[in-house]
Amino acid sequence: MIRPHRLFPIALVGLMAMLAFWLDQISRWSPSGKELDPSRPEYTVDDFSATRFDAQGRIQERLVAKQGWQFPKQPDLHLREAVLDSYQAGALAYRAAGAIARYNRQDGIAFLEQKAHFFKPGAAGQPDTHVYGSRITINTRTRVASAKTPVEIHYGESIANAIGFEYQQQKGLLRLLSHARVKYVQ
Amino acid sequence: EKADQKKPIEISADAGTLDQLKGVTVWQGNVIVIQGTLRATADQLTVTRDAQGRQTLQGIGRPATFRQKLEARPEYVEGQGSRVDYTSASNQVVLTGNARVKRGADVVTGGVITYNTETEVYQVSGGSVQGPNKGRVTVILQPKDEGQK
Repeated sequence: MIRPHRLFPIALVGLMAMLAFWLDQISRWSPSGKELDPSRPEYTVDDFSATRFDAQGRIQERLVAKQGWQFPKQPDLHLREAVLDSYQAGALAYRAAGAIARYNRQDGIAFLEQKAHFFKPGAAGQPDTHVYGSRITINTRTRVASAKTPVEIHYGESIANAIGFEYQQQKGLLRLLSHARVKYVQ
Repeated sequence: EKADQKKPIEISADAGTLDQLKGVTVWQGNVIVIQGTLRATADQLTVTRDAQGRQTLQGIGRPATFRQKLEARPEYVEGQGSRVDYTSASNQVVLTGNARVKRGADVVTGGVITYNTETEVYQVSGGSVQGPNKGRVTVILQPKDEGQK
Protein backbone atom coordinates (compact mmCIF):
# COMPACT_ATOMS: atom_id res chain seq x y z
CA MET A 1 0.00 0.00 0.00
CA ILE A 2 1.34 3.48 -0.84
CA ARG A 3 1.41 5.58 2.33
CA PRO A 4 -0.31 9.03 2.21
CA HIS A 5 2.93 10.85 2.91
CA ARG A 6 4.29 9.41 -0.33
CA LEU A 7 1.11 10.23 -2.36
CA PHE A 8 1.26 13.93 -1.52
CA PRO A 9 4.33 14.84 -3.67
CA ILE A 10 2.96 12.89 -6.63
CA ALA A 11 -0.40 14.67 -6.36
CA LEU A 12 1.39 17.98 -6.03
CA VAL A 13 3.38 17.34 -9.23
CA GLY A 14 0.23 16.39 -11.11
CA LEU A 15 -1.59 19.47 -9.83
CA MET A 16 1.29 21.73 -10.87
CA ALA A 17 1.35 20.14 -14.34
CA MET A 18 -2.38 20.77 -14.81
CA LEU A 19 -1.99 24.36 -13.59
CA ALA A 20 0.89 24.99 -16.04
CA PHE A 21 -1.13 23.52 -18.93
CA TRP A 22 -4.15 25.65 -18.04
CA LEU A 23 -2.07 28.86 -17.77
CA ASP A 24 -0.45 28.08 -21.11
CA GLN A 25 -3.87 27.71 -22.77
CA ILE A 26 -5.14 30.92 -21.20
CA SER A 27 -2.17 33.00 -22.39
CA ARG A 28 -2.60 31.66 -25.91
CA TRP A 29 -6.28 32.52 -26.09
CA SER A 30 -6.78 35.07 -28.99
CA PRO A 31 -8.54 38.24 -27.82
CA SER A 32 -11.41 37.99 -30.33
CA GLY A 33 -12.49 34.84 -28.83
CA LYS A 34 -14.31 32.57 -31.22
CA GLU A 35 -13.74 32.93 -35.03
CA LEU A 36 -16.06 35.68 -36.47
CA ASP A 37 -18.31 35.05 -39.45
CA PRO A 38 -16.49 36.84 -42.35
CA SER A 39 -19.81 37.57 -44.09
CA ARG A 40 -21.27 39.47 -41.16
CA PRO A 41 -20.00 42.88 -39.92
CA GLU A 42 -17.71 42.78 -36.91
CA TYR A 43 -19.32 46.01 -35.78
CA THR A 44 -21.79 48.66 -37.00
CA VAL A 45 -22.03 52.31 -36.01
CA ASP A 46 -25.14 54.42 -36.57
CA ASP A 47 -25.44 58.20 -37.15
CA PHE A 48 -21.82 58.97 -36.45
CA SER A 49 -19.31 61.65 -37.24
CA ALA A 50 -15.55 61.27 -36.98
CA THR A 51 -13.09 64.19 -37.12
CA ARG A 52 -9.33 64.13 -37.60
CA PHE A 53 -7.11 67.10 -36.77
CA ASP A 54 -3.75 68.18 -38.17
CA ALA A 55 -0.58 68.95 -36.23
CA GLN A 56 -1.81 72.52 -35.60
CA GLY A 57 -5.10 71.25 -34.19
CA ARG A 58 -7.09 72.32 -37.26
CA ILE A 59 -9.70 70.06 -38.82
CA GLN A 60 -8.10 67.83 -41.48
CA GLU A 61 -10.93 65.41 -42.30
CA ARG A 62 -14.48 64.97 -41.12
CA LEU A 63 -16.61 61.95 -41.94
CA VAL A 64 -20.35 61.96 -41.24
CA ALA A 65 -22.52 58.95 -42.08
CA LYS A 66 -25.91 57.43 -41.42
CA GLN A 67 -24.27 54.08 -40.82
CA GLY A 68 -20.85 52.48 -40.92
CA TRP A 69 -19.78 48.87 -40.64
CA GLN A 70 -16.70 46.75 -41.10
CA PHE A 71 -16.22 43.04 -41.82
CA PRO A 72 -13.70 40.96 -39.83
CA LYS A 73 -10.09 41.30 -41.03
CA GLN A 74 -11.15 43.64 -43.90
CA PRO A 75 -9.56 47.12 -44.25
CA ASP A 76 -12.67 48.70 -45.81
CA LEU A 77 -15.04 50.78 -43.75
CA HIS A 78 -18.45 50.51 -45.42
CA LEU A 79 -20.71 53.57 -45.22
CA ARG A 80 -24.25 54.60 -45.98
CA GLU A 81 -25.30 58.23 -46.69
CA ALA A 82 -21.72 59.33 -46.11
CA VAL A 83 -20.13 62.78 -46.45
CA LEU A 84 -16.34 63.14 -46.26
CA ASP A 85 -15.01 66.71 -45.92
CA SER A 86 -11.30 67.22 -46.49
CA TYR A 87 -9.62 70.40 -45.31
CA GLN A 88 -6.37 72.11 -46.20
CA ALA A 89 -4.90 74.61 -43.72
CA GLY A 90 -8.30 74.68 -42.01
CA ALA A 91 -10.28 75.55 -45.16
CA LEU A 92 -12.57 73.11 -46.97
CA ALA A 93 -10.58 71.69 -49.91
CA TYR A 94 -13.27 69.34 -51.16
CA ARG A 95 -16.30 67.31 -50.14
CA ALA A 96 -17.13 63.78 -51.29
CA ALA A 97 -20.55 62.27 -50.68
CA GLY A 98 -22.25 59.01 -51.62
CA ALA A 99 -25.40 57.07 -50.83
CA ILE A 100 -23.20 53.96 -50.54
CA ALA A 101 -19.44 54.28 -50.03
CA ARG A 102 -16.36 52.37 -48.98
CA TYR A 103 -13.28 53.89 -47.38
CA ASN A 104 -10.06 51.89 -47.33
CA ARG A 105 -8.13 53.27 -44.40
CA GLN A 106 -4.90 51.52 -45.37
CA ASP A 107 -4.48 53.26 -48.74
CA GLY A 108 -6.78 56.22 -48.08
CA ILE A 109 -9.03 55.55 -51.06
CA ALA A 110 -12.75 56.30 -50.90
CA PHE A 111 -15.13 54.58 -53.34
CA LEU A 112 -18.40 56.44 -53.77
CA GLU A 113 -20.55 53.72 -55.22
CA GLN A 114 -24.01 55.24 -55.49
CA LYS A 115 -25.23 58.80 -56.09
CA ALA A 116 -21.67 60.07 -55.97
CA HIS A 117 -21.06 63.80 -55.56
CA PHE A 118 -17.70 65.54 -55.46
CA PHE A 119 -17.60 69.24 -54.59
CA LYS A 120 -14.68 71.69 -54.69
CA PRO A 121 -15.24 75.27 -53.53
CA GLY A 122 -14.08 77.88 -56.03
CA ALA A 123 -10.78 79.55 -55.12
CA ALA A 124 -9.93 83.25 -55.70
CA GLY A 125 -13.14 84.26 -57.41
CA GLN A 126 -13.41 81.07 -59.48
CA PRO A 127 -16.77 79.29 -59.47
CA ASP A 128 -17.47 76.15 -57.43
CA THR A 129 -17.04 72.77 -59.11
CA HIS A 130 -19.59 69.98 -58.60
CA VAL A 131 -19.15 66.51 -60.10
CA TYR A 132 -22.12 64.13 -60.12
CA GLY A 133 -21.92 60.49 -61.17
CA SER A 134 -22.92 56.95 -60.33
CA ARG A 135 -19.43 56.01 -59.11
CA ILE A 136 -16.48 58.21 -58.18
CA THR A 137 -13.17 57.12 -56.67
CA ILE A 138 -11.20 59.55 -54.50
CA ASN A 139 -7.61 59.02 -53.44
CA THR A 140 -7.44 61.16 -50.32
CA ARG A 141 -3.62 60.87 -50.23
CA THR A 142 -2.90 62.09 -53.78
CA ARG A 143 -6.12 64.19 -53.83
CA VAL A 144 -7.23 62.75 -57.16
CA ALA A 145 -10.90 62.12 -57.97
CA SER A 146 -11.74 59.91 -60.94
CA ALA A 147 -14.45 57.85 -62.59
CA LYS A 148 -14.79 55.62 -65.64
CA THR A 149 -18.56 56.04 -65.86
CA PRO A 150 -20.68 58.98 -67.07
CA VAL A 151 -20.31 62.17 -65.05
CA GLU A 152 -21.85 65.63 -65.13
CA ILE A 153 -19.72 68.55 -64.01
CA HIS A 154 -21.10 71.95 -63.01
CA TYR A 155 -18.55 74.74 -63.08
CA GLY A 156 -20.43 77.87 -62.12
CA GLU A 157 -23.22 78.04 -64.72
CA SER A 158 -21.29 75.95 -67.25
CA ILE A 159 -22.08 72.26 -67.51
CA ALA A 160 -19.85 69.52 -68.89
CA ASN A 161 -20.69 65.90 -69.56
CA ALA A 162 -18.27 63.07 -70.27
CA ILE A 163 -17.74 59.37 -69.91
CA GLY A 164 -14.92 59.12 -67.42
CA PHE A 165 -13.00 61.95 -65.79
CA GLU A 166 -9.96 62.56 -63.66
CA TYR A 167 -9.47 65.61 -61.43
CA GLN A 168 -6.06 66.30 -59.86
CA GLN A 169 -6.99 68.78 -57.17
CA GLN A 170 -3.40 69.84 -56.33
CA LYS A 171 -2.65 70.77 -59.95
CA GLY A 172 -6.15 72.05 -60.74
CA LEU A 173 -6.18 69.69 -63.73
CA LEU A 174 -9.50 68.26 -64.95
CA ARG A 175 -9.49 65.64 -67.76
CA LEU A 176 -12.67 64.51 -69.50
CA LEU A 177 -11.77 61.08 -70.83
CA SER A 178 -14.27 60.59 -73.66
CA HIS A 179 -17.51 61.85 -75.25
CA ALA A 180 -16.78 65.27 -73.78
CA ARG A 181 -19.41 67.98 -74.11
CA VAL A 182 -19.56 71.37 -72.43
CA LYS A 183 -22.08 74.19 -72.43
CA TYR A 184 -19.97 77.15 -71.43
CA VAL A 185 -21.91 80.16 -70.09
CA GLN A 186 -19.80 83.35 -70.02
CA GLU B 1 -23.61 88.06 -86.14
CA LYS B 2 -23.05 90.21 -83.04
CA ALA B 3 -25.75 88.51 -80.96
CA ASP B 4 -23.67 85.33 -81.07
CA GLN B 5 -21.20 86.69 -78.53
CA LYS B 6 -23.80 86.75 -75.78
CA LYS B 7 -24.86 83.14 -76.41
CA PRO B 8 -23.46 80.13 -74.48
CA ILE B 9 -20.66 78.24 -76.20
CA GLU B 10 -21.27 74.53 -76.71
CA ILE B 11 -18.21 72.36 -77.35
CA SER B 12 -18.16 68.64 -77.99
CA ALA B 13 -15.06 66.53 -78.53
CA ASP B 14 -13.61 63.08 -77.99
CA ALA B 15 -11.71 64.29 -74.89
CA GLY B 16 -10.93 67.45 -73.00
CA THR B 17 -8.40 68.73 -70.47
CA LEU B 18 -8.98 71.83 -68.33
CA ASP B 19 -5.96 73.32 -66.53
CA GLN B 20 -7.53 75.63 -63.98
CA LEU B 21 -4.22 77.12 -62.83
CA LYS B 22 -3.10 78.15 -66.33
CA GLY B 23 -6.64 78.85 -67.57
CA VAL B 24 -6.05 76.63 -70.62
CA THR B 25 -8.51 74.06 -71.97
CA VAL B 26 -7.55 71.62 -74.75
CA TRP B 27 -10.24 69.73 -76.66
CA GLN B 28 -9.13 66.83 -78.83
CA GLY B 29 -10.77 64.77 -81.56
CA ASN B 30 -13.82 65.73 -83.66
CA VAL B 31 -14.11 69.10 -81.98
CA ILE B 32 -17.31 71.04 -82.74
CA VAL B 33 -17.95 74.52 -81.35
CA ILE B 34 -21.39 76.15 -81.57
CA GLN B 35 -22.20 79.66 -80.36
CA GLY B 36 -25.40 81.08 -81.74
CA THR B 37 -24.96 81.05 -85.55
CA LEU B 38 -21.21 80.40 -85.29
CA ARG B 39 -20.14 76.80 -85.94
CA ALA B 40 -16.49 75.77 -85.95
CA THR B 41 -14.80 72.40 -86.33
CA ALA B 42 -11.23 71.23 -85.69
CA ASP B 43 -9.14 68.21 -84.81
CA GLN B 44 -7.81 70.05 -81.75
CA LEU B 45 -8.95 73.23 -80.08
CA THR B 46 -7.02 75.13 -77.42
CA VAL B 47 -8.97 77.74 -75.43
CA THR B 48 -6.93 80.17 -73.36
CA ARG B 49 -8.53 82.58 -70.93
CA ASP B 50 -6.55 85.39 -69.30
CA ALA B 51 -7.14 87.00 -65.94
CA GLN B 52 -9.41 89.63 -67.54
CA GLY B 53 -11.58 86.89 -69.06
CA ARG B 54 -10.39 87.55 -72.62
CA GLN B 55 -10.29 84.37 -74.67
CA THR B 56 -8.19 83.11 -77.52
CA LEU B 57 -9.16 79.99 -79.41
CA GLN B 58 -6.72 78.09 -81.62
CA GLY B 59 -8.09 75.35 -83.83
CA ILE B 60 -5.92 72.94 -85.81
CA GLY B 61 -7.46 70.69 -88.40
CA ARG B 62 -7.47 69.20 -91.84
CA PRO B 63 -8.80 71.79 -92.28
CA ALA B 64 -10.14 73.68 -89.30
CA THR B 65 -13.33 75.47 -90.33
CA PHE B 66 -15.76 78.10 -89.12
CA ARG B 67 -19.11 79.34 -90.40
CA GLN B 68 -21.13 82.29 -89.12
CA LYS B 69 -24.19 84.27 -90.27
CA LEU B 70 -23.55 87.82 -91.37
CA GLU B 71 -25.13 90.69 -89.46
CA ALA B 72 -28.70 91.53 -90.61
CA ARG B 73 -28.31 89.52 -93.79
CA PRO B 74 -29.36 85.98 -94.61
CA GLU B 75 -25.82 85.18 -95.86
CA TYR B 76 -23.01 83.32 -94.15
CA VAL B 77 -19.25 83.73 -94.04
CA GLU B 78 -17.33 80.44 -94.17
CA GLY B 79 -13.62 80.11 -93.53
CA GLN B 80 -11.07 77.31 -93.36
CA GLY B 81 -7.37 76.80 -92.89
CA SER B 82 -4.88 74.41 -91.41
CA ARG B 83 -5.00 76.62 -88.36
CA VAL B 84 -7.62 79.08 -87.16
CA ASP B 85 -6.88 81.58 -84.39
CA TYR B 86 -9.66 83.66 -82.83
CA THR B 87 -9.12 86.48 -80.33
CA SER B 88 -12.26 87.65 -78.56
CA ALA B 89 -10.79 91.01 -77.49
CA SER B 90 -10.21 92.10 -81.12
CA ASN B 91 -12.93 89.94 -82.73
CA GLN B 92 -10.21 88.77 -85.12
CA VAL B 93 -9.99 85.42 -86.86
CA VAL B 94 -6.66 84.54 -88.51
CA LEU B 95 -6.68 81.61 -90.94
CA THR B 96 -3.29 80.18 -91.77
CA GLY B 97 -2.30 77.49 -94.32
CA ASN B 98 -4.50 76.97 -97.44
CA ALA B 99 -6.69 79.71 -96.09
CA ARG B 100 -10.04 80.22 -97.76
CA VAL B 101 -12.95 82.52 -96.93
CA LYS B 102 -16.28 82.50 -98.75
CA ARG B 103 -18.70 85.32 -97.99
CA GLY B 104 -21.99 85.09 -99.74
CA ALA B 105 -20.80 84.25 -103.29
CA ASP B 106 -17.36 85.94 -102.98
CA VAL B 107 -14.31 83.69 -102.42
CA VAL B 108 -10.79 84.58 -101.27
CA THR B 109 -7.86 82.18 -100.97
CA GLY B 110 -4.28 82.76 -99.86
CA GLY B 111 -1.61 81.88 -97.35
CA VAL B 112 -3.00 83.93 -94.46
CA ILE B 113 -6.44 85.53 -94.18
CA THR B 114 -7.38 87.85 -91.34
CA TYR B 115 -11.12 88.33 -90.83
CA ASN B 116 -12.78 90.69 -88.35
CA THR B 117 -16.10 89.27 -87.15
CA GLU B 118 -17.21 92.73 -85.97
CA THR B 119 -16.54 94.75 -89.14
CA GLU B 120 -16.83 91.67 -91.41
CA VAL B 121 -13.73 92.91 -93.28
CA TYR B 122 -11.02 90.48 -94.34
CA GLN B 123 -7.44 90.95 -95.40
CA VAL B 124 -5.53 88.32 -97.35
CA SER B 125 -1.82 87.79 -97.92
CA GLY B 126 -0.19 85.21 -100.13
CA GLY B 127 2.03 83.81 -97.46
CA SER B 128 5.43 82.34 -98.35
CA VAL B 129 6.50 81.83 -101.97
CA GLN B 130 7.21 78.17 -101.20
CA GLY B 131 3.65 77.78 -99.95
CA PRO B 132 0.96 76.02 -101.97
CA ASN B 133 -0.32 79.41 -103.20
CA LYS B 134 3.20 80.34 -104.35
CA GLY B 135 2.77 83.61 -102.44
CA ARG B 136 -0.27 84.43 -104.61
CA VAL B 137 -3.69 85.58 -103.60
CA THR B 138 -6.97 84.79 -105.38
CA VAL B 139 -10.09 86.86 -104.98
CA ILE B 140 -13.35 86.10 -106.74
CA LEU B 141 -15.96 88.82 -106.34
CA GLN B 142 -19.35 88.09 -107.81
CA PRO B 143 -21.07 90.99 -109.61
CA LYS B 144 -23.86 92.38 -107.51
CA ASP B 145 -27.36 92.24 -109.00
CA GLU B 146 -28.94 95.64 -109.64
CA GLY B 147 -31.00 95.36 -106.50
CA GLN B 148 -28.00 94.46 -104.32
CA LYS B 149 -25.78 97.51 -105.18
